[in-house]
Amino acid sequence: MRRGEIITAGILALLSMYMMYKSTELEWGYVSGEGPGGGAWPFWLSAIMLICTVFIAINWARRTSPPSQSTEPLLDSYGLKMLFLVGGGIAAFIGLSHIISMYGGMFLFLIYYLRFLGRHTWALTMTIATLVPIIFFFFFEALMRITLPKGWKFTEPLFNWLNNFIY
Amino acid sequence: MYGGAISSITLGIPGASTAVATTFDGRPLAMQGRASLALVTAAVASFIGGTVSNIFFTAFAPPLASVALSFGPPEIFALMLLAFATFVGLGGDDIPKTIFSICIGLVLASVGYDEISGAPRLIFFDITGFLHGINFLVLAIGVYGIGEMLWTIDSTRGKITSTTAKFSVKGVVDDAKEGMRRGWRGTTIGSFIGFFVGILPAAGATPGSLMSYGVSKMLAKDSKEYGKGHPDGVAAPEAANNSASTGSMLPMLTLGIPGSPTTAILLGGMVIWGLTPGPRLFVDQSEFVWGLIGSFYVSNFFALIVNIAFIPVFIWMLAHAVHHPGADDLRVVGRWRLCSNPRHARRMAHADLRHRCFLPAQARLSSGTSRAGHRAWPDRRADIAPVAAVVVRRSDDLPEPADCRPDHGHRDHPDPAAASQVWLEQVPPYRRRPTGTAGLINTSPVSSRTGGLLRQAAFVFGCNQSGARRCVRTSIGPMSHL
Repeated sequence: MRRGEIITAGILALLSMYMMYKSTELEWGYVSGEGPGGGAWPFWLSAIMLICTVFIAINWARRTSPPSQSTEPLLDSYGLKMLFLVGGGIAAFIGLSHIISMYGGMFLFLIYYLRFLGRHTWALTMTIATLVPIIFFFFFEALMRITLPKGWKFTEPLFNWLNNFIY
Repeated sequence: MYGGAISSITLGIPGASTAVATTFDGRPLAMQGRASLALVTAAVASFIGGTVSNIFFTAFAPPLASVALSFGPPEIFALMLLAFATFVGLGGDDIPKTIFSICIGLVLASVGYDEISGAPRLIFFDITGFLHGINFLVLAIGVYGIGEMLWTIDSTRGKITSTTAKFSVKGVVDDAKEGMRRGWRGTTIGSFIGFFVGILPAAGATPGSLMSYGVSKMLAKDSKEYGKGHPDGVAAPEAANNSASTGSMLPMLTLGIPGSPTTAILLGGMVIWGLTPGPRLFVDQSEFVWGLIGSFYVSNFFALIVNIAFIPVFIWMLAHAVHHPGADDLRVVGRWRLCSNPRHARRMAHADLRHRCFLPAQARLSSGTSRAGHRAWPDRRADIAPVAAVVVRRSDDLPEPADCRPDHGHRDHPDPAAASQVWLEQVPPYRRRPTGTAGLINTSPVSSRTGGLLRQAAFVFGCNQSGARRCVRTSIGPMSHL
């Protein structure tokens, strides 16, 4: 935790400086007759953020903040593993929605999540993974009249068949 | 308005921004196995708040509308400033982190076109998607929804736990009695404050519920019990949000100014029917106005009946609430539904990863962290402030739709009743030592919740103000040419 706090503060300080730099792309001072420039607001807010990180670092050095006194790890190996597994699964889900449709991505994500992360039985996994996208399809496409991504053309026959139930 | 309390109490997830304050005491009650008490108290308080508000509405409509109209931009700005100041004041002993969280939210909200000059601002890596700014919902779903899902997995280590609660008809009656006996102060305060905050243009029910909670706690003799499951803490916000929802109708009907996003949509509906909200409405369409007011009384009564009748269902939800991946699907789909923009879905995931990478240190440290590294009680200080600030800053966000609200999954302690005791026993010695004005209370999860509550106030003002504006634009604008 102690190391995590100072690393986090450092990253946030860098972020603050980057925000300040980006803000200067617009006028960040006072424009005579007009008022503050477009970059003034984010620039000074970022400056305050930077000052805050300095204070966080000072508190860390003085060991006055609770995390600075802690020896617990910020993220253990299990947490890190799960972060990548779950985060990666969601990223893949979003990415696949362009290719195999939102519903196809949902189907695969559920299999991945339930079977491989949740370690549920195949029967339960396949039941949920099949039913949820179908229910979602009819809910959004039929009831809500909201069209979600259908992916590439090869998915068309499947959706044509499903649309027969709607139209 | 009662609907938002259900998930606040049963799952610890505010079902609506108006029910944020309900979470602070409703959820601890549920974790103590007293979900029925919390739900019944919320239902009865909502009914009383609504009824009081209806009476006020009936009696004082025209004069109160003129008072509300006197709140201009300086007054609204002062309210926002007050909200931010209270974040810092009550946010515990990590003031720099609190200020940082507020500021980063405000900075993120300034991404996109500068509203004054029209120039693009903070367009990171020249990605054109940033021209439209960072949508509140993207950030909220990423930070709240997926972040909570990851946290749940990390904290439970994959082991799903659930709490159970007993229910009986007699129990509901007893709970209603107890709820009113122990929650009358909160109900009274909430009913009055909610109404008067509700009539402020662009304020709405959320600030009313938060203020009522704060005032109720401030005036209570046993204020230290707040955050641990005090019925007053459930009654005050629930009475207030119901009262405020009626109050927000006042400026809409009398002046044509929507007091909340909901009333803005209602205003659009009135325009469709050829009704022109304003002072003349009471004269020209008196039948409609008084019929509408009469319907408030009737609907309020039936809402009480329905809400109490369905409490067994809510209890069942509590007992069977488990996190499941379908919620994640809904998050992504919901995001898509709002704007049909894949960028937003991706940004939501990025927001989550940023949150996961950058904020857990603050989130964990500001909460009750046991030796084992598990939070005995959830805390959202680090989550709420940036999201709140984004909402305050942005003026073109949609009001948060209830059906797209992020579902956080469930985080119950395996033995909820003993959770606080376990936490106290396991809390590291340094957290027990008073540091300055901050002793155990300031580092306790209860205190953190209170800090989170006031951070939500930021959420409040901005959400309603921007939501109202957007609703007027989206609902009346397209209709005006019809």
